[in-house]
Amino acid sequence: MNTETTPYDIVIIGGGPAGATAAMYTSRSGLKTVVIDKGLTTGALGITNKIANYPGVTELSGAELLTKMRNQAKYFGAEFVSDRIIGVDLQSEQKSAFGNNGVYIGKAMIIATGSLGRGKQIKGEREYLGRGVSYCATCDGAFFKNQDVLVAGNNDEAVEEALFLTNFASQVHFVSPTNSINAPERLISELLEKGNVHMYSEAKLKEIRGNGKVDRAIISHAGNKDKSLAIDGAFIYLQGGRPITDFLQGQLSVSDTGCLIVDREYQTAIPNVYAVGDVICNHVKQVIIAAGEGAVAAMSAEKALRGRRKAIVDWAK
Amino acid sequence: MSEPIHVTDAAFEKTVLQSDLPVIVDFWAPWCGPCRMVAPTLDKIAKEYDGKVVVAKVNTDENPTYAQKYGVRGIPTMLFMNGGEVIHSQVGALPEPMLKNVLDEFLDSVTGQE
Repeated sequence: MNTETTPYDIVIIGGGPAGATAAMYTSRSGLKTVVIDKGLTTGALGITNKIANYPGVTELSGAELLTKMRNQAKYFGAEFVSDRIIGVDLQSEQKSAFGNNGVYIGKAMIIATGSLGRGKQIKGEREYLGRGVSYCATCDGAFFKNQDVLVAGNNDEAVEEALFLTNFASQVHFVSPTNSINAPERLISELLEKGNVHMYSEAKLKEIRGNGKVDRAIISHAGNKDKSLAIDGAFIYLQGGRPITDFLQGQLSVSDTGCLIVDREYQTAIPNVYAVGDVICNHVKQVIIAAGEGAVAAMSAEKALRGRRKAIVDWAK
Repeated sequence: MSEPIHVTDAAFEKTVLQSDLPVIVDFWAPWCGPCRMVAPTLDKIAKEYDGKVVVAKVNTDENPTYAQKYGVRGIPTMLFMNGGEVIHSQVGALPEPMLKNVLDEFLDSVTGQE
């Protein structure tokens, strides 16, 4: 667990094509860079089966292309950390990102969180937050020792959190909205091999009920009648199609459609805070656009941190 | 009392329930990221609201009794208490200005003044 507060030059939230490309540029220009990401298959590129329109790449899965991008950034010195950012401090001169596992502080921050955020909450979710509903197994898992919990989601973040919960809970009900789970085979097998995991695929978490605290969940399961599961906790990692900005807690203004607003160098209203990729709602959601924006923001940040007026293009390196 | 007080289960009754001043009780644990996020704000509040409110911190790892009693199942949970009663409960970290708003409203409601 990272409890140290190592100062970085650049803190990048999100390791998709925008964040990974930005990291490649900043680390290559000698800036100490950290990328915080929830997993390989928690973003739009990571879950794409086939990419055939990224220049120079004839056909790869999204996860393969993303792995290449991340490896390239790592090669130049960027550090990748697996964590979920739940809050930031953008007002101070040093920008801080608070994760479930650590605090990441830098001189500049690049927000590249994408647009797989949820819009609507599930019935009962808000009411029982902190009374059984949680978004952090690391934080709250220990409260559910020998109790039954539900995990809703279908990506590697959900699987990892469920795996963590199997250490505490007596039964873990894994409710996936889809038939397949976007996570490495190894992780899925590890989860399925646990004796206390029940898998529900193509199942929808409809409601969380309780009496002061959570006592059950209602799920609809692949066309069957609604099922009531007796649970004490519900850990929710579902996704949707909205820009992920909740962790900003109002520190940056968003457009009517919830997108972050930036200038032509992808800087937000706060100096040294940039936003790139799907979180700014491009009308074209393509890997190459996100990557291009990551590069521009990285060069702008580098220029700003080193006190120059113009970005340097490193033809010769 | 310009710093948060770390309260054990044994000291909870006296420090929190019998406090003359209103109390913010922060249930936290060392491994919890959101708790670390709210900690500096609580430190500030303890200083800035010295004499108006007591900031009490309960490590749920070492002191589970009252967390269980109040049904805490997610941390950080902050209970805003007065005269031994829970007036308001805040689950999850909040940025400093928002937490101060919550605190000001709580103090207004229990003291009936600004």
